[in-house]
Amino acid sequence: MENAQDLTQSREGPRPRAYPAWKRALKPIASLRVTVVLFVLSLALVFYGTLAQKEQDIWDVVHEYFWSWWVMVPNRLNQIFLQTFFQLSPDAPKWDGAWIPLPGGKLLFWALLVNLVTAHLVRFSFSWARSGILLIHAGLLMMMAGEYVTREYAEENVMTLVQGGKADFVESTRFNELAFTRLRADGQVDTVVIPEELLRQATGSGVVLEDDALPCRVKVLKYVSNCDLLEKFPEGFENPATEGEGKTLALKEMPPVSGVDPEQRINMPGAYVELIDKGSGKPLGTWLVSTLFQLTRPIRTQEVKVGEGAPWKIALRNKRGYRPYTITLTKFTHDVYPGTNTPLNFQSDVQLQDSALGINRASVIRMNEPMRHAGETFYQHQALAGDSGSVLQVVRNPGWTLPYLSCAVVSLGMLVHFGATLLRYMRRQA
Amino acid sequence: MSRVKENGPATVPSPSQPWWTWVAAAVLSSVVVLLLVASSYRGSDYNLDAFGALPIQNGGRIKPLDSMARTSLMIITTRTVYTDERGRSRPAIEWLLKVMTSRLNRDKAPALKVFRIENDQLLANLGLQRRSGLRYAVEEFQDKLGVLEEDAKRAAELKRQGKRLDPYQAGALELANHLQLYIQLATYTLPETGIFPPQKVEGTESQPVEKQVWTPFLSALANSREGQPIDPALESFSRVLGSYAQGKPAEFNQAVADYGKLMEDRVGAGLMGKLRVEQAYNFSNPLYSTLVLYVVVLLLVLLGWLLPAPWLRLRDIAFSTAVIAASLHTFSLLARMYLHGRPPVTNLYSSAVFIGWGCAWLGIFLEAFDKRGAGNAVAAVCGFLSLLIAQFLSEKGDTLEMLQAVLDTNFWLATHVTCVTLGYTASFVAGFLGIGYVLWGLCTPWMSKAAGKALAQKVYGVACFATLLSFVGTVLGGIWADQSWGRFWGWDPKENGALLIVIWNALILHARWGKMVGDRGVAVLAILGNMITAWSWFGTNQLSVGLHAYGFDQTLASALRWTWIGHLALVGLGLLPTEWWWSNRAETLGNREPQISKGSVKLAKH
Repeated sequence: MENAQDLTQSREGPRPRAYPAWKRALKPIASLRVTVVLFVLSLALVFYGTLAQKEQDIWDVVHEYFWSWWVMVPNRLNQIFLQTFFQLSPDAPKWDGAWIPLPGGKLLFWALLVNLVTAHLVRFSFSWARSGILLIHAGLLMMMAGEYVTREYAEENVMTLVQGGKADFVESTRFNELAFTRLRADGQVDTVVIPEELLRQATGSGVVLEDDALPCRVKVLKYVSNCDLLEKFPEGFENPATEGEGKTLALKEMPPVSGVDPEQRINMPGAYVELIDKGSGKPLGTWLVSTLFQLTRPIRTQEVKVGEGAPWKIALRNKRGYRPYTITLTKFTHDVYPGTNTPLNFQSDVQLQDSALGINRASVIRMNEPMRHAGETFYQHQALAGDSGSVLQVVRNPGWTLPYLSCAVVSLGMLVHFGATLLRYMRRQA
Repeated sequence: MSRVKENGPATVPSPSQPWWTWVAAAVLSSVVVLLLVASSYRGSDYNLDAFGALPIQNGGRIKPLDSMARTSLMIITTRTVYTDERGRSRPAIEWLLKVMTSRLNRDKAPALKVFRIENDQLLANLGLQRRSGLRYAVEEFQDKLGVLEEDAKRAAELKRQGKRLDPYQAGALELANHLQLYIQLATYTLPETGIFPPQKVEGTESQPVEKQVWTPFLSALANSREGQPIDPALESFSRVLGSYAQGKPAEFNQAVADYGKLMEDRVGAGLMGKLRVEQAYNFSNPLYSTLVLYVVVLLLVLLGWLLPAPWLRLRDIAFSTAVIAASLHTFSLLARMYLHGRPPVTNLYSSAVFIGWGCAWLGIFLEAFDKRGAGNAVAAVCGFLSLLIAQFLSEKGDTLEMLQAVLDTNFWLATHVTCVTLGYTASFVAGFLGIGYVLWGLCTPWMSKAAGKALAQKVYGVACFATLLSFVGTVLGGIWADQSWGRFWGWDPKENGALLIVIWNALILHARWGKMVGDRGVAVLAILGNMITAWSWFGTNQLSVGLHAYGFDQTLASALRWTWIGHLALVGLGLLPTEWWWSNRAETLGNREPQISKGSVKLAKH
């Protein structure tokens, strides 16, 4: 409409002389054609990124599709789509090797950004009629910046609390670590951890992990990112474990958890690690470790006797972050609709103690009502089995205000822009 | 100039609408609604209305027995009435009574032909002949139940493993589930169901009766056998069932009245009144009347287009009728909100009702500015289709069901869900206007250049509106997610679906601003927008992943398939060269030589 005409006027311009060379050079990049092509590619990416969740973990999908430069979409996804909606027979020829190359989220993000910024440089000059468009685009930039900050700096952890229990640490649900812990005589705990990434890299390579802080050297014989533990050994199973729980349990590799899992299951890694005495270089034995041991009540722990002093405990556990405050679960409530098992409410009544800040207060965390403290937000996440406790989601996101702000700005911009369009239309009709 | 210009949507009637067209529309609508409501009345010696108003706690809410009966019968037979042994159509509540008394009076309920069985192989395995209506009685196949049980068990196991069922397996499993529901009703073992509200204890403050757990029939019976004091409600309700089983209407009516009084003492007159409102809503079924009125509107619009000039006022009557239909739609929505105590959209069913409502009013709004009938047509078509979808979705169970804990927030339901659903609404309206543009231009000689331009402008305007609503709705969803689990954007399938709609609408606008598409292009893009909106609304749920997953449904999947195929065909039509468009040819011929305009009409007839 009027805007469209304005745009073309300023683009193709009745005053070619006023058009500097740099603007002419940028013009192709600033073209609306480019915008539309980028939109089409974004649509394709979001669509395939949705289908991919049918068989991949959400974090893998985000990593491969939305936070990558380039993605090779397997033809399998088309098959899934056609099978679901067009009754394509599962026996139809598969062409599994085929793929569609698509620009990933990062590339599209930068391309759209360049297109947008150059468009404003080349085509727009400020006028009240354009203020709406400016607001919309400024808000969108803010939103993308927010998503970037979230992706790069946000931390998501959980805090597990049993009824009446307390915790001063949070755990990651995505990252794990091999931890050696030892209780000192003064009640403090010595902790040395090896991040999961190192374990993965060292798997089967013969590399021996060593560090002054570690009580011993560590050789990773096998590492799997999701596993199950079998009490009955499968036929032909050669048990690498010589010590601890591994003597009676067999590690079975499992496929990674797929999609935004409705049951919110997470990967449970497991490993066989051989420990080697630092001084003598003699093997101390091979242990089976897995995060699955954390789920047993009481938690299964394995001890390693190394040198003098108290024995060390060894465990593969969710990566921990210790905090300067303590949270105590005073009461956990799980209400249901009367006469049903449909949950009505999950609620954690907690006591927050932060001696450094002089805080000691009671607080309630329930669905849609989080608690904020020290840059972190605590959400009601899950209930422990039999309502014996509560799992809080603990999120630190320095960019959490940006979406709110950008939403307001874009909405305002759209109201201004489309409102003006509508008014013009109605005036013309009247 | 020519006949081409005398009718069809191109001609604009004078803007002032005479008062009598409103009267005509009001009379027409009243007759339609009264006929529909009156035809659903079924008399009986037994006071079924009083029985249907009695309370029961089921699925976490207190509802009238009438709602229970309708929901259960809807699941089993896909209608809220059944045909009795004498071929008469009878209400659901009578069926429920027969089922509930079937153990006292064996010959009644098993002979009722209510089980809908569609699969041929299943019919053959059960030893049944295919008959019209496809409804069968338990006694017709009870000797084959062993076969059914085995096949259903196997199908259930496959489903549990996430495997796709073939039509026979799906049919067997469905029938087995329906039989289970029937048996649970007949034996009073329906889960999550209590019939007797707790007795008031004098001098104690207790929770409101809606928040307490009601006693199931069998528990009350068991308690009385264990020597505990007998609940007077158990005795009273047994008299109701007993008198019906013995076929004594007078005693039944008295027993129902007594039991009703007892219930009123326990749950209070307020709640009993609300149950009667729900019963009245069920009976009058205003959404069904609305659906029929939308059909009437569409007929009026088409007649207004086809009939010559003296009939132009039909368009005004169509407009008034559309306003009345949409008002009835609004009333139904408000009634449901009152009964549920929630904002309008809480599940797929209510989203369909709401989208139809939004489309109808948006269409009326467009029509108010430009009375060529396009707005009316969209209001009627979208209103009708979405209520039809709602009708189908209501076969799944109680449409006023309780919400999962995370949804238990009226604020976000009222803002995010409403806004995003309105975004769907606007996208659909743009899409249907686009369809109108293509069909009108291609298949009729009536779309003049100016009229086509005006219609394309509407598509553009509504796409702007859709962009705004779907964007705000999507971002509000992000903010809700941030409030409830600390993650603004999670790339969940449903979120992605909403994002697709936003991007698509933005694409339409940018393509137009950049002059990449003209009027026709905008219309075609809007049609493609329908496909994307349909994906977001129903498609994403079919993937069975994510927070908004409700599981795969074969019927919905095939409905989507045909929606997409149909829309692709329309897109193909829209892309046909403009020389082939009838309106174009009519206009070119008309413009060149007005006197041969008759020729254009002839041309049209080939």
